[in-house]
Amino acid sequence: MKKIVLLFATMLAIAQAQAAAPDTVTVIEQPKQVIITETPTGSLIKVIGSKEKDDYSFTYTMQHSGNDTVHTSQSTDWELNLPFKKSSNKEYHWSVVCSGLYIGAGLGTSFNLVNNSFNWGILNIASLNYNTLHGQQFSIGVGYDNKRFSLKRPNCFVMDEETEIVDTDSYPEGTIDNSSVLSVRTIQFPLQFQQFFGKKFHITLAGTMNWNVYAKCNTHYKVNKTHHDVSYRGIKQNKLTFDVFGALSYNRIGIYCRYSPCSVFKKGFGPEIKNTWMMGVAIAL
Amino acid sequence: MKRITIIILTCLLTTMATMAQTGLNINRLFDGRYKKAAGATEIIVTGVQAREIGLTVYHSLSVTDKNQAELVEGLVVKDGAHAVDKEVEYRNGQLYYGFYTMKKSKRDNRYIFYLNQNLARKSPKNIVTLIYMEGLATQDEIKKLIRK
Repeated sequence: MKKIVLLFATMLAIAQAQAAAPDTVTVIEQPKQVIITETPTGSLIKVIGSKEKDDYSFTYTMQHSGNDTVHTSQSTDWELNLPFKKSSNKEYHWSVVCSGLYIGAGLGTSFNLVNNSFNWGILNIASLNYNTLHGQQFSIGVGYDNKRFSLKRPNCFVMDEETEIVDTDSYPEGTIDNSSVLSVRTIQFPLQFQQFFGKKFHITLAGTMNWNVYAKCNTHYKVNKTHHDVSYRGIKQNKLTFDVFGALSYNRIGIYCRYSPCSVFKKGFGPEIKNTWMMGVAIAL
Repeated sequence: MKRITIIILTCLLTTMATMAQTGLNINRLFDGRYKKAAGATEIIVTGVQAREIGLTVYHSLSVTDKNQAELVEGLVVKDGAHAVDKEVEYRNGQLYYGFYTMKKSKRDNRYIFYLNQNLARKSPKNIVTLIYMEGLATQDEIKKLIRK
């Protein structure tokens, strides 16, 4: 209603200005009805009822001159577009994530017949994370790890099928293109701690419990143009071992180091391959 | 140490941004009272990000509490009375939006924008927004910036 009064006052002011007469303002408090009639020759404003008198009536007529143009407009809503919006990336204490793809090579083992070793895995195929929201994160998860140990020539793995004891021996005379590899597949359960320094840099420390579900020795050699590929399954690996994992990451890409103090084989069922070190690249840690 | 640095920087930033509104009634609203208030969002932008859009200070406050909306409107109208240029629209006796150009601060233009989306015709929202802006940007540039 205030707007109508304002409109009325504005039109009145225009008319008065044209007439070059002194300003006059008529204010009608709380009118019941305002009727504005526009005709080609002018405008008629009629106000019925007011705050004080229900039967109050006021009429105003304004004649347009030949050059007048009447604008009637109604403003539209203002569609606001804030240039800076508060980030909706809320941080939560608890989350479930997949993280830590790594690939690396061995730095050495206590078993000096190992020529080289190779390691890859996913530290957390799924993990339950707790973030303190103050730069620390703890998690427990489940992941996968694969290690391969390659023997120095001329040694190769051999297994006594009856006793299931793995040992090392020399390749037969005259072999070429030989290799002998022990591979261990592991389901790992890492208990992990991460400390963030700023948004991009963080360190990761984890202890993993490893369930070594599968181990295999594979020896490959060629004698007199004949290929020999010997696989020994059912070897007696230690089913449960523990590793220590550490990584430095920047922008989720980093380097990792993994130490395995436990022997791969059960005692008496193979050479003591333990205290192995792996190092490589880790992403999405 | 990191937290202390962040706290000091935040305080400095807030102080600098608050000082920008010195002499205005809306300054009362930017005293930090809404920082942790439920239903309120306060954004302060200075420096490079603000300069990218032709401003030196961008300070916005959005509130959803109707009681607070009345307070905001009252203070905006008070400041609006001293504006050198203004564009306002009232709906149902309440200020729907106001775009006020205030007296310059040194070489920077100063603007106050107010919008009560409760009074929108199409899809009213329970949000009242107040923005204080300072910089070389012109009125038209500011309108382009904040209007869809």
